[in-house]
Amino acid sequence: MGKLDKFVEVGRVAFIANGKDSGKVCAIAEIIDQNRVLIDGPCSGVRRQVCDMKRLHLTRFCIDLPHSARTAVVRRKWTAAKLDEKWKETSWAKKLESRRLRTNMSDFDRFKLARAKQ
Amino acid sequence: MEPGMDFHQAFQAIDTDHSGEISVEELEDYCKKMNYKDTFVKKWLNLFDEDESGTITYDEYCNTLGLIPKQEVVEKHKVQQTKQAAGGSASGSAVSTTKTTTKTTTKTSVKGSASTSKQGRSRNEALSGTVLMKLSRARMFQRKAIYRLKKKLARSSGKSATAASASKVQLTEKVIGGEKNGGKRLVPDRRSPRSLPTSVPHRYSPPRPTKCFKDHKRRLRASITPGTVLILLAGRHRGKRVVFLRQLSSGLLLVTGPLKFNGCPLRRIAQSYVIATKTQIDISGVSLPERVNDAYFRRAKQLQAKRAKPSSADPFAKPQSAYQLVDERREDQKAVDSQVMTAIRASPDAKMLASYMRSLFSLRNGQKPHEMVF
Repeated sequence: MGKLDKFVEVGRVAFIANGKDSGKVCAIAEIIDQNRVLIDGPCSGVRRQVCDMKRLHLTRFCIDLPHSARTAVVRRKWTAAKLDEKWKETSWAKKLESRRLRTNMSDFDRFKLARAKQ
Repeated sequence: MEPGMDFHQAFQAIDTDHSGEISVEELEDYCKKMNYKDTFVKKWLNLFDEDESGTITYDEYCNTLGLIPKQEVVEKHKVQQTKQAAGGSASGSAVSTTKTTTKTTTKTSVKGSASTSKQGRSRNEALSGTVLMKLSRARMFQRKAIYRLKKKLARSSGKSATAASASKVQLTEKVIGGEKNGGKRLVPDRRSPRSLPTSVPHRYSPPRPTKCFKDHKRRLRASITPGTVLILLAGRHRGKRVVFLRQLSSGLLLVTGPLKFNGCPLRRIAQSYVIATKTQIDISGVSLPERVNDAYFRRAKQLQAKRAKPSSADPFAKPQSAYQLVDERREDQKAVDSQVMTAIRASPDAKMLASYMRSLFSLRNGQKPHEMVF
């Protein structure tokens, strides 16, 4: 049982695990009910939409958002908090990136990697 | 036709000048007189004018209707024609005399006099935009008056046996010996078949003309372009990474090792035995010798040599090695490889690329080819 420090709250930055926008981060703009939230990720290309909590993995980031903040406000707060860089620096994001690179390696890349490891 | 008028009278009514033949003008006049539709003229010509002369002779008329020409009518025509001939009229009448006097009418003489507009005209026409014809087979049979054609041919040639009668079965009387047999029997010259099909078998036309191999469309995977590094999956060079040069006219891919790198020479291989990698070498500057084509690689000669010896003395003797390296192969290999290797050296990561070309491909544990990007 991990630390209970990541809460579902307005402004919580969440990672979308599956669906069309899988792999992107967004902010929770509003909580609808037990299972659903309104998310918005203008800086990461996520449209403002309703999302089921089961699809979201909460990150340790939280931005100061008023509830039901419109997209422009979310964008403003996001860029002010420099969330894009902060996210990229996390080992989570780094792991995702390395996994992506590994799957997209061409045969020649794999050869070069194998050689480099020797 | 007026009621009470018989066919002979009708002919005479239309043939106003009693020349023995109804011309188009006479038909048109009659049509107007009787207030018939314009199609009347066409219909009549279609029906009665067998030799397509443009006129309907009394003979043709009677032929169509199955009548015997009335002698008095014929006499009348003769009289009229002689009058016309005496009067020194056009050649048309001269021809008409030949027509009525002789039963056999030659097409050439008639056609020479008549209008040639009827020649080459089609009685049927295709419906626009389709291959379907306007008139059905039965209708065309009527139109072409094929039922009359047979009779006409029979009469003109003087033969009693037409195609129909030729197929008719002839019965011959055969005497049979023995008592109480009836003595003789009528035997057909041709036996009826043991069984007849209940329905005409449907012959399916070939769906579409099948092309021979040389006319087939050659396709090439989009991932394979000149200069692509390919991984060979089959053959004696399997696992080797080779450079794709071009697709030959047979569809096979022309590849080269280069020979110095991995021992694979200029070779043909089918694209299904190949993985195309994303690695490209710029071989735009490489010019291939023109003689390198499918014929260049064919093995036919060796096969023929083998066939020449049907059975060797020693069945366990190994067959003589078929392939002999020829000088032209060496030349072409050198020419191509030197260019390809320059291209490899010119590319970024040249050293790595060279050692990559030298290495063999294999799958490791955990590697799933369907998930891999090549």
